[in-house]
Amino acid sequence: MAKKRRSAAVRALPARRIECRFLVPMVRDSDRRPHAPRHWMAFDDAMRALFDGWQGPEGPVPGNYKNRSGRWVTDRCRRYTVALPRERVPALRDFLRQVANTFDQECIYFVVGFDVELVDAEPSAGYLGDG
Amino acid sequence: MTSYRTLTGRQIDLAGLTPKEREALAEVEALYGQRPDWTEFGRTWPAILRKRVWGRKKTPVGAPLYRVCQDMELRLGVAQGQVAPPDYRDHLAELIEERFPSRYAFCRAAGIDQGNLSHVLAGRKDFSLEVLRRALVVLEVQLDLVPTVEVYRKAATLGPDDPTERLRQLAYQVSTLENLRAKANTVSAARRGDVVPPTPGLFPDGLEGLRTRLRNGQGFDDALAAELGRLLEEKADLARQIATTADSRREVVTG
Repeated sequence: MAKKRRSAAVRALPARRIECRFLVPMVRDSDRRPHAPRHWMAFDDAMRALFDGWQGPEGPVPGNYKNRSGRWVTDRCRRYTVALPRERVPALRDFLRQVANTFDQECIYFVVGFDVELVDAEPSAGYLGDG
Repeated sequence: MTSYRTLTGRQIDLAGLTPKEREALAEVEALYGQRPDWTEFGRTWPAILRKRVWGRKKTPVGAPLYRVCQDMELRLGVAQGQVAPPDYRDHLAELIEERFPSRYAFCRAAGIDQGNLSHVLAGRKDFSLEVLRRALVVLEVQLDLVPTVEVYRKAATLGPDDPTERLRQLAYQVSTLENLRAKANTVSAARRGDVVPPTPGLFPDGLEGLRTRLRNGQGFDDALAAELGRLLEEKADLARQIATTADSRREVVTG
């Protein structure tokens, strides 16, 4: 019983979250050059300051899109997946606006997706293969 | 390793690392030595540090170990062409972080508008000469003219201060020269110089010394032998130096 209380205290996070994904293109929009080291450092630092964890980076993820001037652009991106409480989605959106500015992007592909739950282990639920 | 030099030349003191942190760093360094994919390394080093050092604690952004591993990730990115080599703006950002508590404090000291600094660091603007001069004064640095190849050489390696990395670099250069010799043996003596690529491309290929000798009119065979000899001599010196350091360390450890 004591063990169960401790594990709940350590997590101390709301169990219901929403999964969000976004892509950070690996080159600048304006000159198609890779990003500067300081920008990746700032991105990393900010991600770690904002979130307790995320999946990724994954990639490179290829993508094609039409930019604002109507030209087709092929990009390769790093993909990040974050699960966070729904009320923090606007903060993530604000963060991505800064990411777009820093990484010289017209916009950032952002998926505000699925409900995420953290399902706690519960011994009374039994084990796989218990029959 | 008692200190680490970042891509932009900042020295990070590693003397204060705990034994656990040193073990974690050794694991990350071993992984880095295998030259993994940049993105894969970006996933793996935080996982190693989380498992070995951080546990459930908040990531200590900016701590020496964090910065070193982050720098290794950036070096891989630069070497693999996924991250731009550092320019003066990266040096500037690093110097500000090192010497001022915040960008705001730096701007106040230098009399620079914070918005102007943001635009410069974002790569959208450059400082005027007058503003750059003020920035250099408060950062206590000056401009220097460095050959581009030297900038790329620093960016692509852990740095010449690390003898084991230099040894790996030498081994690579020696094997490159030996491959060139084998390739040259398949063509006539007059065309042997053609097997050397005329330029190194984005990153140094270790053939600058050979190119210089050929440009100075030395024959291919003589130039190659002289270059190989020079590199092997440096390799032997370095190996002796590493052995001596290890011996001294062993004596300290075993008494």
